[in-house]
Amino acid sequence: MSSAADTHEHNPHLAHHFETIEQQEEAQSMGMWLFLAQEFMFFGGLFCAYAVWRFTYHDAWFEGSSHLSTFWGGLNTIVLLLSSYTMAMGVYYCQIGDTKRLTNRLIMTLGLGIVFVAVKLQFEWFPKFHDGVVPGQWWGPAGHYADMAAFPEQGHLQLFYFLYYVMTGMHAFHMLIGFGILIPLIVMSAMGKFGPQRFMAILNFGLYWHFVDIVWVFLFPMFYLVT
Amino acid sequence: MANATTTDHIDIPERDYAAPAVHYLNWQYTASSWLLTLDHKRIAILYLITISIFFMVGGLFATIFRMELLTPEGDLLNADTYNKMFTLHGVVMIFFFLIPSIPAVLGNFLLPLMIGAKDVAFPRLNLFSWYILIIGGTMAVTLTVTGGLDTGWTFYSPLSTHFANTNVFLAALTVFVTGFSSILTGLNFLVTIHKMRAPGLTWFRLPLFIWAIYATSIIQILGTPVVAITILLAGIERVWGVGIFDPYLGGDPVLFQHMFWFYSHPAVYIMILPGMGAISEIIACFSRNRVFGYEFIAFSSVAIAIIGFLVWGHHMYVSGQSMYAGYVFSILTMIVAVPSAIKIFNWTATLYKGNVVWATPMLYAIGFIGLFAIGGATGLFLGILGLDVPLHDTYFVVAHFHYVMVGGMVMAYLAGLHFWWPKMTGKMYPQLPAQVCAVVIFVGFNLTFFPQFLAGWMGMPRRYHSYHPDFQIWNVLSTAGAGVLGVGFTVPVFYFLWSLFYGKTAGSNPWGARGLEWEQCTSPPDPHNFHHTPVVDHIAYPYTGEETLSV
Amino acid sequence: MSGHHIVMPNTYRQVLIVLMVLMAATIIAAKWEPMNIGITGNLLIALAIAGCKMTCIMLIFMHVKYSSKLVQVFAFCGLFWFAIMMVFTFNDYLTRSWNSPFITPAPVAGGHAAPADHAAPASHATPAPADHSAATAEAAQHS
Ligand SMILES: [Cu+2]
Repeated sequence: MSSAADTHEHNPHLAHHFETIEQQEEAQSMGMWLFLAQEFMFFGGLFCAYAVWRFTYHDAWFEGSSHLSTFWGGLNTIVLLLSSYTMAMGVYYCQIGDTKRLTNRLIMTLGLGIVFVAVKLQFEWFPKFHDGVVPGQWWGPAGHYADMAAFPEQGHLQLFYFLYYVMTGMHAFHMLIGFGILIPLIVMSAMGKFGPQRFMAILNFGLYWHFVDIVWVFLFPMFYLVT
Repeated sequence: MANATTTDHIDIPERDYAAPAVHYLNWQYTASSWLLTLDHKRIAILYLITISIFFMVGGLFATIFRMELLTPEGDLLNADTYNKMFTLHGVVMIFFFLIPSIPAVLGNFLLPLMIGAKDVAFPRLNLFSWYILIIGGTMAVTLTVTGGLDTGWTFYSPLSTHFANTNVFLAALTVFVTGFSSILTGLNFLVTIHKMRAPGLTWFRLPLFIWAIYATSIIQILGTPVVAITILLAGIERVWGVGIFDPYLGGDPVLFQHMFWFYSHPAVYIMILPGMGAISEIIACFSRNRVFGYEFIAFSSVAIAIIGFLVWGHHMYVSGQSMYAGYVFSILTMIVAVPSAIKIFNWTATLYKGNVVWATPMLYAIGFIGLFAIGGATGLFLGILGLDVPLHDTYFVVAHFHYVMVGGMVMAYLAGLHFWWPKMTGKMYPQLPAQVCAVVIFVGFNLTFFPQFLAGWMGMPRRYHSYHPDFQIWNVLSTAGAGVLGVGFTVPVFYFLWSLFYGKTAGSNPWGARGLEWEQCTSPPDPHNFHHTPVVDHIAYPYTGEETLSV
Repeated sequence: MSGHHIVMPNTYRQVLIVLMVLMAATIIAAKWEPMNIGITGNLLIALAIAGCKMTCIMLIFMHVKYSSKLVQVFAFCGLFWFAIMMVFTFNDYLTRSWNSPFITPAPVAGGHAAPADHAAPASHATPAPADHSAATAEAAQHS
């Protein structure tokens, strides 16, 4: 607060319509939180739908879940929690002005994110596509998933996998958006654009990234650990 | 003129009749200075033009199907075309006119002015929201010319996910995209109200319009994403041929309705709340009275925003939700009417012993109170579980929500537009034609929609292109009224445009109104709104009742 | 900078460890047979652990603990609205005869009964959760 008076006139990061840098930062932070509240309700619709069907078709949920790999799901959870940690550390290094480590941590965050999406596609989605675990007209569990075909309520099982693909897909889509923002941030960070005086972009991106992490924290037990 | 009478420490500046030499409209002329502008006032004008066009398009669809309904036989349009007409009318009017109307046009223009800020918190985001609306609008136009949509604006499954032969997926994407325009506008406004208020402008000194916009923004941010994902799911379901809404695999269409109405009932309040805010401003100004029960009106806006989220099931009494849920939703629907009623009583009390001036905005505002009271009260009829069963899907419902949305919202929008037009453009429109036009709209509106109450009460179902001949008299009256209404809506376009070139210069405060936008801004405002940041040391609406006004 | 508390790396590290432990706990709770306490119990445990993880991430990683009251309100208002959606949706589903654990289904002749391919598995007709946990145990053994 004390620095407000002297930074007011000449702070190059202060947009003309704000009075002080604090006001600007608080507004940006608040805007991001409202955006996350919006995101929360966006996923909330999916979670609500999930809850209704899990409640209604327990058996199909057990059956579907028992064919999801806890190993890959768990590994991805670890990867994502780690990426949240590196992101949080990035914010710390930004706040103390260690630009080099900031860039470093952002790259690690991106790397872990890519590992997550790669694992998801390579070890989870593609094998399922290959073995006919695709709801709709291509439905026909075979190969590794052949014993699923014996489940009496194939329709309910398809609903499980429909929600699985839509919800993890929507989550992965948010990660891809995150990559799209992270890459420019890494470039800007390498150019030394961030520091103790200018960290809102890093802070806000961190919020977004942690939010995506939180979504996965719920998706993991909801799909992989139905017992 | 007689503004010399002042109270205490509040001074209304001498009324100046001159427009400033440089203002936000004329300081730059290039196309890019408009299309890439970050000025909230210019963005408001962009919205104004956009939604006026959509209003005309939506009105055109209505005109076409009203003509079809002149006769009981389906002779002008076949059933398919008729379905497309009312669907497109609904989609365009709701997503492209009503939802952006007051928040995006008047809200954008007035919010920073009313709270003494230089701009909204995120000007770039503000412009981006407009572009999202334009992208959504382009998609809607594409949808219209590539076969339209025939599911009704509600996209009910399994019609939308399974049976409709039109481009439902594109329509779903249109709604999805357009929704984000609304979300981001709400986000921007909420941050602006929290963080950008002028020194001294505490929450209880805010104009009631700001409170209304605040409540609206809450709904926009927390409700819209749910409908976005719901309609997207329905779209995915249609393309994929499988999903949770279609009973084919064990899904439940009623779940779609739950998720859809979770937003779409509060969306009614996105449409009406900002209108109520505008009406509060206008009633106070033209009755020269402080708004009666300021805190009640302020909190009733917030109460509507919250309780409005608890009543959505009143759209689903007959669609298979459980009876118990119906009871709960019915009771809550009665409760949500209370804050709206509080507003109506307070406006009426504001008029009491006021020095009422029948200027054009006031005519619209009074019209609003009457029509919204009818619309709201018939909403209670429909909210009663037992009564809704026979009335569901009849013209009674159609008439009810048009009383709320056209009689309420469009009247409020026109009231606001007539009230702030001199501020937006610096020009005064001719009063007499405008006053006559307000009366014409009022008469035309009632002629259009009151007969629909009667037809609906007698059992005429909605959404059919042909009907039993016994209903013809009501439909002929309704179509005649629609003609009157159409004329009423067209004339303002002409006198507004006329006023831009030939209108009297309005001066900074032609109505002698109170509020930062009137007392501290020129008309049209400076590109930066205020020459120096205003400081507020008094409550809103410090009218004394003594000021007189000649218009 | 007001409101932008600098959180020490050590705190972040501790949170990470807590998160990892919780992740292990949620897997154990779900997969280890002695921890199997029926579908409702399992679900509640899983959600409770996820809720703890969310709280850790929000409070420390997302700095909610160090933020203004306003941010704290906003951070949790989504949760409140989501609760509204869930409560009123389930107010319907839990009181429907065809899938409610609280209401005995009407005979099939009743107009309200579900269509044939809509009918819930037999276990739904029984209101006692004990039966569900038996089914749970079976499902767990399959995997
Ligand atoms: Cu409603």
